[in-house]
Amino acid sequence: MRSNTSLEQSLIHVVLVEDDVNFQDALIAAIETAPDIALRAMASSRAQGLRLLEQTPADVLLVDLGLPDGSGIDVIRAAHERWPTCNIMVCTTFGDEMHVLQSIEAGAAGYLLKDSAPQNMVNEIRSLHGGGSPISPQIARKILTRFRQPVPSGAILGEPREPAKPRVALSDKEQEVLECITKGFTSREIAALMSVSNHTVITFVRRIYAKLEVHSKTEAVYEARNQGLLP
Amino acid sequence: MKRAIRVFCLSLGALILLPWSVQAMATDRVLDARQPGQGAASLTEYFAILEDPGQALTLADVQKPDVAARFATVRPPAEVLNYRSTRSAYWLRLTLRNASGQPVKQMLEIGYPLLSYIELHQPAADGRYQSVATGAAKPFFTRPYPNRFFVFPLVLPARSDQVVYLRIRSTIVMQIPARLWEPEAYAAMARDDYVTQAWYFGMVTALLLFNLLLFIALRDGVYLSYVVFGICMALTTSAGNGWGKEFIWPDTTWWSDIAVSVLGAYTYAALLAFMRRLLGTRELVPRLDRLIQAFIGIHLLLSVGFAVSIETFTAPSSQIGLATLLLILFVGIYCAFVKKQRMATFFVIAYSLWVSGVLVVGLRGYGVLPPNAFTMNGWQLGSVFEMLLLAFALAYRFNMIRRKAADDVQQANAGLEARLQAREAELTRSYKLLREIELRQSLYQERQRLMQDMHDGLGSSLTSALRMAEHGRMDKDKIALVIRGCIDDLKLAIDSYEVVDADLLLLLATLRFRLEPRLEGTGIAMRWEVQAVPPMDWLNPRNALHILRILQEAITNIMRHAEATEIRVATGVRDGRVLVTITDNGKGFQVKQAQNGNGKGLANQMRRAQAIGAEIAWESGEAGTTLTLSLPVVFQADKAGAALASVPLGSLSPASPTPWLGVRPIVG
Repeated sequence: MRSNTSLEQSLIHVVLVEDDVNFQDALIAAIETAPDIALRAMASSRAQGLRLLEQTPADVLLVDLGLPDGSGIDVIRAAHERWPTCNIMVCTTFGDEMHVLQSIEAGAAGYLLKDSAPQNMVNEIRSLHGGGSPISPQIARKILTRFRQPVPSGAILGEPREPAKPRVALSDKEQEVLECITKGFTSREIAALMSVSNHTVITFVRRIYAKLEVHSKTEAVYEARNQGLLP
Repeated sequence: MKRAIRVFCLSLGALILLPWSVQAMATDRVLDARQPGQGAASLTEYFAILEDPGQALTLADVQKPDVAARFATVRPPAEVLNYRSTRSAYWLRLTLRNASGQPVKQMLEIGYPLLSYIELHQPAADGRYQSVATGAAKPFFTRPYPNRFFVFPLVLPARSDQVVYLRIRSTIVMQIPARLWEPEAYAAMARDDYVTQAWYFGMVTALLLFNLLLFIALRDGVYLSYVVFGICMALTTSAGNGWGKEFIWPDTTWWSDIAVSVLGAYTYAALLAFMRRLLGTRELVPRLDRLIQAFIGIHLLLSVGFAVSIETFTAPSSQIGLATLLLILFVGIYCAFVKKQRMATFFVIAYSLWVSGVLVVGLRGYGVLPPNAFTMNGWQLGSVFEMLLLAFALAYRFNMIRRKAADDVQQANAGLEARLQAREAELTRSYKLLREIELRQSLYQERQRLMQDMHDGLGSSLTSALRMAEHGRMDKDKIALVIRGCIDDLKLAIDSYEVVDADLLLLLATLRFRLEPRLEGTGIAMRWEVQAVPPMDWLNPRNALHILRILQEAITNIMRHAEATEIRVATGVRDGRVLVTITDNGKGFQVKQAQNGNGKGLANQMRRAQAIGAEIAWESGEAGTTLTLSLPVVFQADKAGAALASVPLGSLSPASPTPWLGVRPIVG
């Protein structure tokens, strides 16, 4: 019993919110090959997905954006709030950056390409659970652009003159990682270049995603203030 | 202008004026020249008068008893004898008594300067008559006492009665306001009178000079016509009140007799001309304006007529003068109250002031009003107030013009702004149209590009996979491989749409990101040795896809045929071109043979390279193969194979899309 419990505890509990039956099957098949991963529940609509969030938090939540009754972004946002320890992944067909970035801003920590090989899917889930996050050169470029704009005049000189606008800044290392990614280097190569471990590089990406989420929130607050929606 | 007075009085007070007549009295009244407390006494009631229509009687004639008996006295007593435009000569007989024991000096004043001829016959000590002949038609020096009026100093011996004869004849109008003055009182009166006149002429001169300067400064004709009118008015005044004769033309005879008529005609003409300009009657009341012009012409003709024959034209000029005064009044009132012209209101008020001055003088002349400082100088007063008000009207007019000019400028600006806005809107329209055309063109090109790409890659791969699957010649893994290749093709096509911002390395990174999973498990290692390259602005989706396809083909070929264990991707800059090299350590191939042979791969790569102005070269040996793609930093259309390639698609897209906010085409 005890060993069972410990096995139960070390399992990665996955919840899937997806209406595409083929991908459901593909994921079920992939997870069956992995003894350390368990699919705990599945929902095929936004409403079902939101209801699932009332249960015990899972370790990894996979969400498709194009749900029949609404956007998966809502599910991601709700999960980020109710299951703060859960790692959220958005399922996407081609890694289309626009939606991936929206999901990250809503609280997702990674994305899963639906056409990935089963082994890759399992690996991605493990990596995400381990604190890593996938990233593509295009996403890296967009995040860099995002943090660079809008540039207040003082920020260039390193002394922001706009105290009214709270800014989340990337650290030099995070910046460097992103720039390397846009040049095509893999996390392993970047780890070698920066003399850190591969895992460190992957967690850098996770931190960058977290900053992006905060950044988007402060941006929203700033915008709302600007438009007089907030005091 | 004195005619005008008369005309006005006639028209306004005919009933009052008509009963005036000279009535005969049996005996002359004798004036005691030494009545106590007397400053000036009107002589009218003391005159015995004889009309001499033939102008032939001499002093001796009128002293003859039969003629002397025809003298009559005036009743009721009036201040002024008024015979209007009579042709007759008048004899006035006056008996003055000095009852005192001392000789008395007195001044006999005829206060009307337009009498052409005046003779005074006064008995000397020996009883014989001494005569003085003067008048407006005689030089000034003939006057026994220098004054604008006719003044005769008399000495009355002690305890005596003197009979004085006056013979008066006038070309234009005959009024005889005769008074007897004590010398001191007369001197005091004369001094005051000259001060008054000096004030008048001083003010008029100042006004005229000021408006002349305004004309010089502003070059506005209305100021000049005001000055001309003012000069005519002042000269007429001076002719009418004797100043002209005293100070301006003292030695003239013919002129000084007709001056007031000629100058009066000019004044009318000038006033009409001034009114035309001030009120703008030509535009405001065109028909009245023609009448005004006719009147100007008539008055100019009259002035000539006066010079030719003053007697002939004096009578008709009275009617014309009256008509003119009424015309001016009518035009002024019409413009002010019907046409609602502010200028005309000023004009009517000013004009009325002057006319009232004239009226006052006229009424005084007919004895309705007593002669005092006000009635004596009514003309000057009215005239000076008129000129002041008109000057004020001119200032107001200037202000109006300035305001109108400001309004005009504002309107012009508004018009300009409207035109500018219209032009802007037009530009916006045409710009929008242009952009729509560009957009359509770019959409068409995109469609062409995608169709071509899908036809060449995805389409043919899927077709061959389908055929093989149908004939059962392909196992599950192979089909999966082909389809995976198709998905990669599709992904790269989508990637080419992503904004690469002239960043070649980002494009290469994307390629690696897509192809890396396929390398996994093949035992081929990827050496990524890219170095910074200059930005390449021509990297639009179309050109980016060409590069992606060339390099994809190269890597796929290595994976399929080269049996390599390592692929090295590097970038560099040489001779102003950006180089991308893909090197493998595989078995190599015969480049020439491959280029000419049946292998479609190399030909495709060369075609694509040509389309973007790039050069592609292979070096192959036993140690492996190196593909070198040499790209221009700046796109040169003439070096590119396809004409369409010269259109940078990025510049045609509707707006540079902000990845986060803007609308961006999403495929997939």
